[in-house]
Amino acid sequence: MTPDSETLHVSESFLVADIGHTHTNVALFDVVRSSYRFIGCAQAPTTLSSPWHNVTIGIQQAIARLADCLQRPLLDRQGWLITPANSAGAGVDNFAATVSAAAPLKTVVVGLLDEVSLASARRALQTIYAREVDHLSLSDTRSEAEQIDAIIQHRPDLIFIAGGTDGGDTIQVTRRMETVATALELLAQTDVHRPEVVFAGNRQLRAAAANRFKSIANLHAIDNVRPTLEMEQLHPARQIAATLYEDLKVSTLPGFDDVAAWCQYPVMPTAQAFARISHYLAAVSRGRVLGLDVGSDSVTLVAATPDSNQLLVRTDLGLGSSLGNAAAVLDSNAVLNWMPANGVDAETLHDFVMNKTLYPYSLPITETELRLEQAITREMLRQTAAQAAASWGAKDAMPTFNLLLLRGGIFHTTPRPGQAALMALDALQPTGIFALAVDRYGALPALGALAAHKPLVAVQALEGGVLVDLGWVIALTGRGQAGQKALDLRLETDGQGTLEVEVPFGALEVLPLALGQKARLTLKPASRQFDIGLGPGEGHSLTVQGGLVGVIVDARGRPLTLPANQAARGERLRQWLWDMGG
Amino acid sequence: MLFYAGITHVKLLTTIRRERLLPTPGEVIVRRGQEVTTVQVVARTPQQTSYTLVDGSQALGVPPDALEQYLVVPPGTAVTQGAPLLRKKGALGSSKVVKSPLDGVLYQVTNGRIIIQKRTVLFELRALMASEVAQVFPNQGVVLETSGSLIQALWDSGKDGTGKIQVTTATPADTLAEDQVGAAARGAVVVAGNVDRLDLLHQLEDNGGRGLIVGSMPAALCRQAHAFSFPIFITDGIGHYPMATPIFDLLQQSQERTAALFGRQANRRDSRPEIAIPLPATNVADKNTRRGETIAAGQTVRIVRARELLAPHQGQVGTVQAVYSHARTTHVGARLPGADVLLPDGQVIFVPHANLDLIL
Repeated sequence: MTPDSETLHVSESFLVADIGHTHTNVALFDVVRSSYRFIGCAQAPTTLSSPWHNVTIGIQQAIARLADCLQRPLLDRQGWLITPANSAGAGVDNFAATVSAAAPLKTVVVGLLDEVSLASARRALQTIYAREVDHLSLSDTRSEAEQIDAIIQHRPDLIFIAGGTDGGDTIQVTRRMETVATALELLAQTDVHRPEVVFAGNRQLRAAAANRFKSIANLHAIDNVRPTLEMEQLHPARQIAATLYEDLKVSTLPGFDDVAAWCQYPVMPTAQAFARISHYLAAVSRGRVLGLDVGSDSVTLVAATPDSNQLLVRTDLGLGSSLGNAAAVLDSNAVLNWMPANGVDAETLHDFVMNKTLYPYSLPITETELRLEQAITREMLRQTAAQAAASWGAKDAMPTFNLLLLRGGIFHTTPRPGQAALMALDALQPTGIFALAVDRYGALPALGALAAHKPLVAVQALEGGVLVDLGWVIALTGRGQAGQKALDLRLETDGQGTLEVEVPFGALEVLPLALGQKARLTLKPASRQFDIGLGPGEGHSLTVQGGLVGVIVDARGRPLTLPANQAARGERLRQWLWDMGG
Repeated sequence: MLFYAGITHVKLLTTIRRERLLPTPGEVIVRRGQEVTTVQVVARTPQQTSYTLVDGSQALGVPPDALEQYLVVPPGTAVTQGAPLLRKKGALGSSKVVKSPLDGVLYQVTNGRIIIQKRTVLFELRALMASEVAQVFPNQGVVLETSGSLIQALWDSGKDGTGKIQVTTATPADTLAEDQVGAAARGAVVVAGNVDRLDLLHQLEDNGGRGLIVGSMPAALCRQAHAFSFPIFITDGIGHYPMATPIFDLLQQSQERTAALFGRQANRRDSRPEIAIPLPATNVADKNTRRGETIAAGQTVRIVRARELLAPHQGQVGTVQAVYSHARTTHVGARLPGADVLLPDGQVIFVPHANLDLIL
């Protein structure tokens, strides 16, 4: 798997920081026995908030912890990174950083039809940390004056104008451009704030846009996101959005200049770095990878194939400071439906959510808190997956994949690994056969950031065990009677014998297969009623590797149905939890 | 091994520096080094306004770039409803007139349209604390500096305010009662362990209360809190918990002193609300911590989550007895690094580092 073009001539060490909104992680990679290995990682609270207002302090704290753990000096007496590494073994040769701590880009989206130009503009912007604060379209019933007032009040960072196919409508797009321009003229008279304007509509209007916005905004005229009704081209829009996010938000983070001065590589948004490493894994394995990152301030979903990469970033969701926003998006009843025990009402849930928003770094230490966080996570993931499926044009709820990557504190701090797997299965309801792994050390974005510049580090560190395998999942579709035989399964392990199991419909079974242990798995649906992702009734045989959970057979059917009765629902959820190891 | 935690400042005497910034650029009317009083205006700007558009070009049937020659009054002129804005002479002495639809200011003419700004009032930014102007940001605001007590709160209702501190409950665990928001609350910043009744907030407003500081309040009340004219500050958490003892004690010591309640700064996403109580003092050595503080034995900590959801340990303040460098298993089976914390009742409980907040 090692790229031919790059060989290990020089042993360089790499320290990569991931500056999240709540925590800052640092991960160290160095050469061990002629190969790059993950050496260690450490975490400290991000110091963006009062009293620090400087992200560098959090990085220094995390590095100090790592140095303390490894007994390897990494900072000098003034707290600055020792680089390059010296002959005494102190310091590192390279430093890189990924960032998700910056505020999302406040955007106003302008288009004509909600389902056409506006939808394309949103698909372009969903690949960065952005938050739509308003939109203007043909369906907007406000007066023009009200629209202007709204733009002035929002003071957006970015106004993204789409609309009109190339050679199509000019009148309606011009009208909306005029509304935006008027608002910006008024804004310019009272405010130094000068929003960026991206024009990605009918190309015939580019010159008019340049003329109208020349003295009131920084205009970026790019290719139409919807040149025809049938065609969508998002790449230029995504590129400019990413650049603007980095320029306006990342590079203006308090203390960022110090971090940037340490970096040998461009600082990258965490979501993009995660997407890149997911894509990398897909390319290396020649398979499909679904990556899921639940952060404090956002939820990111990546669907990567060897040839393509789709990304969805939800900044209105997240398990820390964004949870307050999420409360407005999430349905309390839907969240509480995932609680295996009674005793929590909507008001308690709201109190819990607000407390978590105010203390985003705190961790659950009671059963109720733990289940609440996991219930909220399920609902967030379910909403994210639903949006992704709609946005990516998937016919099914979720595209099939070969590897599901889970990232975020909610997954790697679960008391038992089965809980992480169950959250993902309940929320995404994936189908088919796939491996399941957790980014236990939070090092994946770091590798994503390095992959473009030092692919050897990424490849060797991945091979060296940055990911922790949870196991394999066989999720079948079809409907049947509860208890009816759905699948014959045979698991052959060298020296451990053979296990043959009949899996009934409705069951969730876990077969033990220790971490790293290989086995031959033979699957045969009981009838054409059931499908393991290869066609109705089609069987399959493959070699699988064990993990912290084992081989999971999810025969609960799709979509998952929970009993309406509260007691029965709680009983069912407790049973599933029990099946997955508690 | 180094362990870091969140920090809350609760300081009896410190140097208080506070930015006072306008929501939109305006005019700063004080100078550096000037002493300011609590109510003194330090900067001002026209309040957020709204606009109305009049399509003059279409109304007169003239090209957009020719519109300005038909203006009756120049941009910047105050106009009343019905006052002529545009006049175009026609044949036989007739003329076409476009009138203002409302009272306001003829703000500008753009692309054939007249923009009328509705009448605005000035937003005046007050100092809120007796202090010295330490720095001036032209068109934006100032930094004020003084010495006194400082408490970092956790949540605020989005308003600033000032008033005399009136601690109304006997203990930090007591709930605000009806007789504590009566006429005696006029001009006061009322302090209570917690509050759980919306009607008491209305009473406090009716009786001229200037602010409310509580340890906790349910989320349901937080959702309503923004509507009140006075600031509401929460120091410890959402729900029904006592106020942290060091905060309550400091507020008790500050009884009858004038406090400034500064809400989170709109331009700083991660700022915290602060309660500043200026005190006459010289040679204040205690500066706010800027670097990281690690968790160590003997430190005062607040527990931000506890053994049971919404149970008594939440918000309790104790002293770190021992810090564990290796993870320990919590009640839910998670293995987390943490510390033993001695509570005021003599009980010692294990708390993960992530759930500790250092009180400095």
